[in-house]
Amino acid sequence: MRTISTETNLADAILQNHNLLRVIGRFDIQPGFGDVTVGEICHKKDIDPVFMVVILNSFLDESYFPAHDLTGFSLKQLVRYLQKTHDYYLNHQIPYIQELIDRLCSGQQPENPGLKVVNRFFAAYCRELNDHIMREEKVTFPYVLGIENRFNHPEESETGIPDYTIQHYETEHDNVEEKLNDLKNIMIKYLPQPFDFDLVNRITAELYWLEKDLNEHSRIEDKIMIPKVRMMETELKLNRR
Amino acid sequence: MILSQSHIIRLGLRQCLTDLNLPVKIFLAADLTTATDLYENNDIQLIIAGEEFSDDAGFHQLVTSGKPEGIFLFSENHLPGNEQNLSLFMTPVELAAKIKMMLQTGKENENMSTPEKELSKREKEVVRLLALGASNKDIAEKLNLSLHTALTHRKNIIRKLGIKTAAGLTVFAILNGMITLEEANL
Repeated sequence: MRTISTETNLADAILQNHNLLRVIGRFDIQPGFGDVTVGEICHKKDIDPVFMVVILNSFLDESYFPAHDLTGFSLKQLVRYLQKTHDYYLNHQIPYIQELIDRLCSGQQPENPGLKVVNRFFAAYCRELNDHIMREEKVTFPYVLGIENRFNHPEESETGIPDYTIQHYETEHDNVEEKLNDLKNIMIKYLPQPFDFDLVNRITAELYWLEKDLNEHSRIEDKIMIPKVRMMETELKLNRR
Repeated sequence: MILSQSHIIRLGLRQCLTDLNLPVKIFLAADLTTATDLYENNDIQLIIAGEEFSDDAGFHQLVTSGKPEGIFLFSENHLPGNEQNLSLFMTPVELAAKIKMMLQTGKENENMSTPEKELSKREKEVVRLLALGASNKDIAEKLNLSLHTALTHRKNIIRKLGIKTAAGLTVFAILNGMITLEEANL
């Protein structure tokens, strides 16, 4: 697979892997963008091209980072991207899967109670994902942005480091992924007949996409955001002595 | 899982393993209590333990208690001829080769043994109780088992069904008629 650079034609990259379309959507780039390179569209949309190239490549190839130097990013930019993905999960992807599961349940006559159970499980999963995202939005991201601000302008803030550290965040990260994995397993191995196979197919495909996307999302957090915040925390604490 | 009393070795090894980009999660433990806890609650494939634990009875009990996954001892010196050792001065290439070999061996062993998928009667009881909201400790008490045995059942259930969370097991239990939807707290 070819690595994407700022010289790569954006349409070629997307024809190589159509899922990138969902990724560029988070940068407010929509189909119909014409015959442009990645660098050109970044210039037009005022996006940091280095950041864009890393996000696209890491999506295609998991080993792309941390092999590449990522120290040049601002956390502000990173957080903005992560917030866009949150918005995508909560306002597009999850409601879409919910709609498909609702159709799966209501389309069966006579009613299949087993499908209802799966629906309840999905609802529980959504609540948990929502809680997790809200916590990131309300606690983690403000903390991350605050640390970066303090790091860049140490003269402005003399107040101490808050009790929360990125260590807290790291410990809270896992159960959401496990539940999604369980849901896939249940759909594939234990779904009780009768059901609309075509719908099950589509739901499974969407769950796989969601899983890949969530993994990508946490990988960006774990491999770029957390190490960077850690580094800043350490330096700030040293400076205070 | 990396088990070492040395902060520097723990974090250093974690960084080395992270750089290998293996599709695994890395856990760190500074003492046996933490290690045991991590071991019982996660599917640990490989333990890299500091030399200081090599004669520790508690450590031996830990590594012989479950299915024997790969174990490496980490020492300051090269111990020649011992495949089960990692040393402070090995190159990234040597480290990668050893770790990958060990993870691979684990997988092959898994593939060779015929996978049992059917739950045993006892395991079904455990699933039922988990689905009703019981904790590991509750289960141990109700079924008159040691906590360790209850945890082993749980590990085996995860392996057989591929379902890890309590909510997932609840769905499984309902779909298989082990509990009713009304009994479940979903």
